[in-house]
Amino acid sequence: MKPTDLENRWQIVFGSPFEPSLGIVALVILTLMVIGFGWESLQNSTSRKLIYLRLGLVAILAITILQPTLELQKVRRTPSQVAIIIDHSKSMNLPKSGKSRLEFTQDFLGQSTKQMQTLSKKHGLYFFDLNGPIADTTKLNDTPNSTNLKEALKQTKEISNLSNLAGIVVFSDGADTIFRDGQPLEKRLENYLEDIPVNPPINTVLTTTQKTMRDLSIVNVSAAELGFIHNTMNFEVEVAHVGFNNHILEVRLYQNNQFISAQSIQLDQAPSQKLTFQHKPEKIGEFVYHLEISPAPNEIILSNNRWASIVKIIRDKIRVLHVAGRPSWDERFLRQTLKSNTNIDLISFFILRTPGDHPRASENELSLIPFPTNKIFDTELNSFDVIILQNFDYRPYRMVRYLKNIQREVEKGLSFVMVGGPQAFTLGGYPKTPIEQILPTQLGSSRYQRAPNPPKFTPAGHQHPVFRGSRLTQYPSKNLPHLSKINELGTINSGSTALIIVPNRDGKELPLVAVREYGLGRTMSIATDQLWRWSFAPTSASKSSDSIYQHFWKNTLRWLVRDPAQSRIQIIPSPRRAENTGSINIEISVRDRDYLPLQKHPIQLSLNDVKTPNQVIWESTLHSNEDGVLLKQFEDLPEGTYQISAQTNIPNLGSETQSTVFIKEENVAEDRSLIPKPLVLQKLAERTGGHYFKKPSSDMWEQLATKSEQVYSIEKSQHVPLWDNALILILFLTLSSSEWFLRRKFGYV
Amino acid sequence: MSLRHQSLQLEDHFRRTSSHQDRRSNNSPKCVGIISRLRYFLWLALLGVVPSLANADDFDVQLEFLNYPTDANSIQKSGWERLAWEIRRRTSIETALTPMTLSPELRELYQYPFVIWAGQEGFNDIPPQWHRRLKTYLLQGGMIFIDGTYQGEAAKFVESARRSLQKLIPTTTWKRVSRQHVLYKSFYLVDTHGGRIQGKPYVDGLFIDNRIAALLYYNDLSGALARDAYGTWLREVDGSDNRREMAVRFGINTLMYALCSDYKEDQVHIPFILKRRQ
Repeated sequence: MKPTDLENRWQIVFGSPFEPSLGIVALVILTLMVIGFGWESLQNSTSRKLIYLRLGLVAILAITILQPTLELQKVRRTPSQVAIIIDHSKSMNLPKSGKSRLEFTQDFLGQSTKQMQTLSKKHGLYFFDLNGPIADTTKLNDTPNSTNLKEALKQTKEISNLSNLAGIVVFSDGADTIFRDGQPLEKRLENYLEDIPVNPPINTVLTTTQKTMRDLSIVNVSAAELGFIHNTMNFEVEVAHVGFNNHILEVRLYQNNQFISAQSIQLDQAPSQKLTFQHKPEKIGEFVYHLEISPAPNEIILSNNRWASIVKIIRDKIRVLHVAGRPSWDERFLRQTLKSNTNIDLISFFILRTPGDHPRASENELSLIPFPTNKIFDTELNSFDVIILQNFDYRPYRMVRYLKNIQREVEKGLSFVMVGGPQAFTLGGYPKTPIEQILPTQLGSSRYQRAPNPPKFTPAGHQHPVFRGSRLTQYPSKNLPHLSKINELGTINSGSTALIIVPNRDGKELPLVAVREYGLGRTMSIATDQLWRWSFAPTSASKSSDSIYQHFWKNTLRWLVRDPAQSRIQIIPSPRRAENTGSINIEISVRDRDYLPLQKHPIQLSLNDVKTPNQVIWESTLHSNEDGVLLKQFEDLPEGTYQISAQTNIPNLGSETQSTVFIKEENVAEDRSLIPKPLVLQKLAERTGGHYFKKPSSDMWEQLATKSEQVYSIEKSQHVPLWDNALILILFLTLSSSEWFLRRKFGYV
Repeated sequence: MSLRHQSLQLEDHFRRTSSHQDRRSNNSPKCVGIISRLRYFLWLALLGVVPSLANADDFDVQLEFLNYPTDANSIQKSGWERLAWEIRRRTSIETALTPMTLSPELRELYQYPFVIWAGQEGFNDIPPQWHRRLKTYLLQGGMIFIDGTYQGEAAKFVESARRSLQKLIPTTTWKRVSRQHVLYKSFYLVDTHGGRIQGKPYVDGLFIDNRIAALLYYNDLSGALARDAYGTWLREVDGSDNRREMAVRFGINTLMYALCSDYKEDQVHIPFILKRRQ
């Protein structure tokens, strides 16, 4: 229906700067006052005349205040509109053999030309697909990545020229990708419909039937993104089906491309069924876990028979042996920090009583136990990942023979930390022992002295994983929290790195925190028992709940056990799981032994499909930039799961390799929501007062629910003031002079 | 007897006699010669203990009093001095022998993760300038021991301290500390609290993340341990003298808990403790 010819309309508007209602109220009050004051005189005909004249004057005053204006308009009646939305998502292109849902819709609309012409006499007809307006029902926009009916409805209403939308007609299979196949709809629909406006009415037309459809799909896999080596992980798989009752289905689990296990399930009437896989990972790293079901005959689509998840497998609990020479605040805060970390299995031994102490009680009144040196430093030593000797003098416990064991285990991969105090380092009797050989520093003097100056970071300290991200690195260099006492250690050993030093009065730098790679293990020396003071160090506005002290120890333990996240080569794909995006960016950063950026350093990169690990898709040797970072972009990779590896030579350490995985996939959401969902369309229509049609039919056009309101658009308007003319002035003068004259005549003046 | 033990005993003797000497010297100020003064230092230097020259930093633990609404009185100070001495003698904890008092502004609060709050009178609330510092202190790992006397006028202090800390950390509440708690086995295996009076047969704890951040003791711990310069008990105990020994043991356990937290709940200790409890 086209807009009508021009029509004339008029209306009176008020030009008063005041609200007309206020003006009227004021005039009514004035009128009442005029009548009120002369009420007793109304019996008298002379007085009545005077009052009438005065009321006339009030009326003129009212006209002057309200400023009534005649507005003459030339208007055109605009018809209401009906929007027709065609769902053109991937699911509408099914089935692939025969006529698809979309073709079926387009054919129907082609055959309904006559009916639509009839409808267009009442309403303007506008066509849309999920992406926006279309000129022709056969020329649709690009297929969207997902079906979002709500967004399409919102978009349609926001089109500016549809200012008077009388109704919407949606042709769809109802497979909005927010609802996965096989999952119960009712509850989720309530939330879904909640924010859909009830106007205008939405008429929905289901454009397919389920009778001919058969499909199997993995619609969901619940699995943790993080797993622990040797610990059982669960993969909860939800399989949906249509048309496969009693079918026996085999679901298989793969790690990268390696088959792990399979389970069979007999499908029943339920639209979806769940089964759980359990798996104990044997390696640390990032892996792609695939779940697959075999294709069944006449499946409508096969791409939804597979699901991929990236899971990072990290080491099991870190087993830490914490031995303290005596109770102290440093020991207490360290224990508290270690205990609060759920990934740490802590074994502690604190010396609470020395042979010289006299508790004045029998052994049975004490909770003390013998220090099992043989068991922990011999039999079970290799079960620990980290040993912390804190302010501990080994000599009273006849442990000299076990020190060699510690050195041997560190060579094999154990990590060792010595924390200072008056019983540590030289004061603990460690000179000329195997422990001296593994520590990052020379043992130095036997002084446990007042710190002459505040500590400060070395350049390596700022970059080292132990302090990366620590609020301590944000302190001005000379304002690090002062530590009252330190062990005076000697120089740094070859291959070791000082992270924090304390400048001595004679200009010498005393290592406070130093690290070393020794054999396959790592060692650290902390030349003070005062680090606990960092627990109360002022914090920044950061919301992190960890104190500087806790952050330090958490990072320290991760570095000691060689957490891959703290390795010298870092590879970060972005996005890690790319859905329908054209390119994937890979950021590779390389650092030297001291974790300083390796500038202009060659890095050998290779890319392969996880399914074919031996077949390299791409490889090249590229160089890092000044920041030790290399950026590589992969464009238009086909769907698949990929492993990117980076290998480089770290000076003074040797070759290191790191790899990670990423996934490229398309239309994942659509593949999990292919089965028509008439309930979605039905409820949508019900909510807005529209009609739901189970299938397109020629008589549906007459039954469409629409609202019938007309909108006028003003093409031209003219304003004629009714108050600003001579007549009003003459009337005013006549009435006022008459009133004055009468008053004179009747002797009221 | 070990050298260290000898030195501690001698030090104790020195402290008592030096006080005694001071009193005498007050009566006849000119009679103490330089050799006489140095004699003790020489002895102590030989034994490696010169407490008068030691700094709080030289010890693992320095006991400190909170100074509100008033400073701890001389009996309370004497009691804790005695406890510090007993801790040093009986355990491996290196404790400074003289408790100190924190400044009214609590400037140095974070240097001392264990503080004692001993008062004699009630109050409305803690000073506003304490709020932030004290809250951070408790949340970040500090511990307050309220040495209360749940009797007479002094009971008002206990209630005031209890109320003000509760107000400071409203997310937690005071709870009675169970006899199974590690506090009762952190060094001694105890099931009583000792103390000068029999205020309450339990202690209350303000728990933060399962840690006792404040401990409320009702039986006047310091009153049970306070001695004069001659070593005589300053206050009578309500019951047997064994309450004094129990107060020492509970005090040691408290400090051991503050220093080792739940160490004695580690699996390795459990069979030993169970056997000894039987």
